[in-house]
Amino acid sequence: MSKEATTTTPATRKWLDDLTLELRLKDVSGRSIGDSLATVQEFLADSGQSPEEAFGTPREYAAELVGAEIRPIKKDMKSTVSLSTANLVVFLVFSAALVPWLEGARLLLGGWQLAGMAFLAALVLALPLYLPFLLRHFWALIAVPVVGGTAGVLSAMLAPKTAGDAFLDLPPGPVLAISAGLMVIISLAGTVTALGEDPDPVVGPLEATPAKTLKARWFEILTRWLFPIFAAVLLGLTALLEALS
Amino acid sequence: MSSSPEEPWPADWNRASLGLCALQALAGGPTYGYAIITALENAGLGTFKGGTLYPLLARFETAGWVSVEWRPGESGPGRKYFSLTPAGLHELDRQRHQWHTFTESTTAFLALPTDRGVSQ
Repeated sequence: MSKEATTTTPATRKWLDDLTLELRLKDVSGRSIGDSLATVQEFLADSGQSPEEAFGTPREYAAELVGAEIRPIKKDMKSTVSLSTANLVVFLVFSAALVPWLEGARLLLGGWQLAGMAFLAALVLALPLYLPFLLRHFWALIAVPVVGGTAGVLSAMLAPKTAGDAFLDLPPGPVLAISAGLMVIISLAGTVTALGEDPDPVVGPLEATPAKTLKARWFEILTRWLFPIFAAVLLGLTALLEALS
Repeated sequence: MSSSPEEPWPADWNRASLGLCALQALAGGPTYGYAIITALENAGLGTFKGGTLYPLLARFETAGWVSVEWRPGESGPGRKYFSLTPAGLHELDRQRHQWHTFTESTTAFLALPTDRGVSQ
């Protein structure tokens, strides 16, 4: 294999992607990651070796680099996770109140339904504890949303049919309005937090840092508005189904 | 320039001497990772991996012993050159002196007659 070819093979690209992931999991800055990737590519082009031969596994090499005091950065993961969890719980309340509101009925919440919501919230809240495991194992990345989705469906199926079975009996209109308002407030808070943080893209050592424009960060901002967007889509679809039935 | 030994040096010896030898390889002026490894190999000091050298050089950078400069290459991501700072040069002198003292002591100890116990 030629020296040039060793840096461009799919196996090498996979190794470099895995190294990027491992360094991200260790809170290494995008600039330092770009430097490490370029160094590896330079060495592989010079030596003609495979990445495993020259550097071991991505996980081992990332640990060596972080041990060598490549400076980690601090990102405020807690506030991001807290806001996402709060928005998820509010979204679940919104979706529970939607159908009773459209049908002019009362919002009835059962004990099992509340337990399902609490389980989903706990799943998201504990995300920082198992995020590295999820990202390293594709099956787990699929399994967690499936478990979460199942909990959501079960919670909807276990909704009480009569006021006597309900743990909580509420008017759906105010609940819907308050939960919609809260989702917008939480998304606004998330947007302000996101814009307050410096973006941290992986940048090569000889590349300029990308501009911090809104256009360049639209996707990051969009993720902060997912729950209000889902809520609006859900409202539209449910209203349409109610009108057709 | 000496040839490689028939048998690889014990890994512990390589680990112990790599830092000092890498500083020495930088004493001639700015150079890059693969050139350092090639120089050490040509000197008969053994074969080193990029995964061992670069974290060491990162430690030297953190300690202020080396400075780093990326230079554009004809293709690819460019080349990372390392050069000794005045603090690195001072460290090289200090470690070189220590190494000579240590190896002299080791050599003298190994030359002791073997028919006498060390407890005397």
